[in-house]
Amino acid sequence: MNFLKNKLAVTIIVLSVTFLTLIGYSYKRDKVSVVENGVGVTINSVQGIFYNMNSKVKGFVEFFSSFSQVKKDNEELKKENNELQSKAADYDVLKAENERLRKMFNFKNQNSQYNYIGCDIIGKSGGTFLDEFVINKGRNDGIEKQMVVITNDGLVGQITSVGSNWSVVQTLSNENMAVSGIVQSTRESVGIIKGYKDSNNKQLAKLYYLPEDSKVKKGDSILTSGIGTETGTGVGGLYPKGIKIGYVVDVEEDKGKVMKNAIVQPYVDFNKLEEVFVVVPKNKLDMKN
Amino acid sequence: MKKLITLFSMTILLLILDNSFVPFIAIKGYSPSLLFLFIISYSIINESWEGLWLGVISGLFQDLYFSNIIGINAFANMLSCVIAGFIGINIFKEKILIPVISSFFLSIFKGFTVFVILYCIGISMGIKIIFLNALYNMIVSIPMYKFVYWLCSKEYMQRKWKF
Repeated sequence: MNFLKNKLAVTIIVLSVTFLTLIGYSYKRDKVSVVENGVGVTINSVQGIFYNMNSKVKGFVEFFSSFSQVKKDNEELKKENNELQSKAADYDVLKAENERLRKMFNFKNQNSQYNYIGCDIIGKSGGTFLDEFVINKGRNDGIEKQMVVITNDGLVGQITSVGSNWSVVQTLSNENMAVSGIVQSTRESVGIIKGYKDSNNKQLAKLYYLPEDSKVKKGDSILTSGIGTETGTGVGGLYPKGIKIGYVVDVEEDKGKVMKNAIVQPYVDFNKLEEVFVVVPKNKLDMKN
Repeated sequence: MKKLITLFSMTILLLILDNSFVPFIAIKGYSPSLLFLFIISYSIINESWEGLWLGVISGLFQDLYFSNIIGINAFANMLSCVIAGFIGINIFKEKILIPVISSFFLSIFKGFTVFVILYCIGISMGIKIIFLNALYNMIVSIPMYKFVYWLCSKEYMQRKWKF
């Protein structure tokens, strides 16, 4: 019995040291190992089917439980659609005009420097502790760590781990992501957006380091500023400027640090994501090929 | 051999369910971890030595889907399972109360282990989520423990591993 206990203790110590070393080694790396990649690819193929099935079932149930709401929404959307169609016609005219003027000024269109890769979500990750999800594109499509993930509604998060045809995205609601943001109305105030959760576990974000005299107010839209990430690893222009992040719901003043923080409600509903886009800078692709 | 296959396929199945099905039964963003409950229940019934290896293997699978860090879940699961194994020595295994309470405290233990390691390498994580997930885990552990107890009472599951 004594021997067995020793065997147990020895195993625990050996394994603990191994794991702690692995943790120290792995958190800085740029891509996952071959073994992880292989296992990931295998499991993901099954998992994707499960996840899609479940999200379809969920959508189906939600449709019936909120049928009257859906009908009302539908009517409102039809009305809105009409409005938007007329606006779209205006937009085309303006766009043509804009392009003409841009050419005249030889202005480089910034958004054309990026590729947008459409991805499906095939599962959740991060255990129960971090808000992360798995998408079905990876290194083969030019995705790398730190790249930004968006939907049509706005900013979603950042890539934290990349396999050959899958990658892990950490959402904005984690505190680990830092993106520099700009207040649309005042234009000059640049701050750092980080994830934030209020006491109800509501997924919000917070814009830090705004100057004390900033005129930020409730309802202002926050956009990305296009300046590299704060973490120091950020390459300038890793993501385009002007991606919508959210709108301000509250402003708080930090007297100690003489600055203002704005609490931001993201435009994206992180619980209802199905399809996302990864923003890949084009010049980075050129370097590789 | 049949035992190993059973345990391995249960691990994979619960891992997939954890990533694909559990998010849809989450309440306000808090969700249980089926795989963790499975290994805890198994360790209580089969004691530390087997629990340790199951914990390590399941943890490595969980690490696959945990940010970019490998080893963190394996480490936390290993310790949790060994503790669960020691709890299992002194209790009547057909009674469900102690295993359910242990699941609660071990979930908190695992949460804190993960929290501390993440903190050390500069990744922040909410603390409140640990407690509420643990509470949800406790509820789910009632059917899970009953299931594992039933599974372990089968004849082919009784054979001991030879490591």
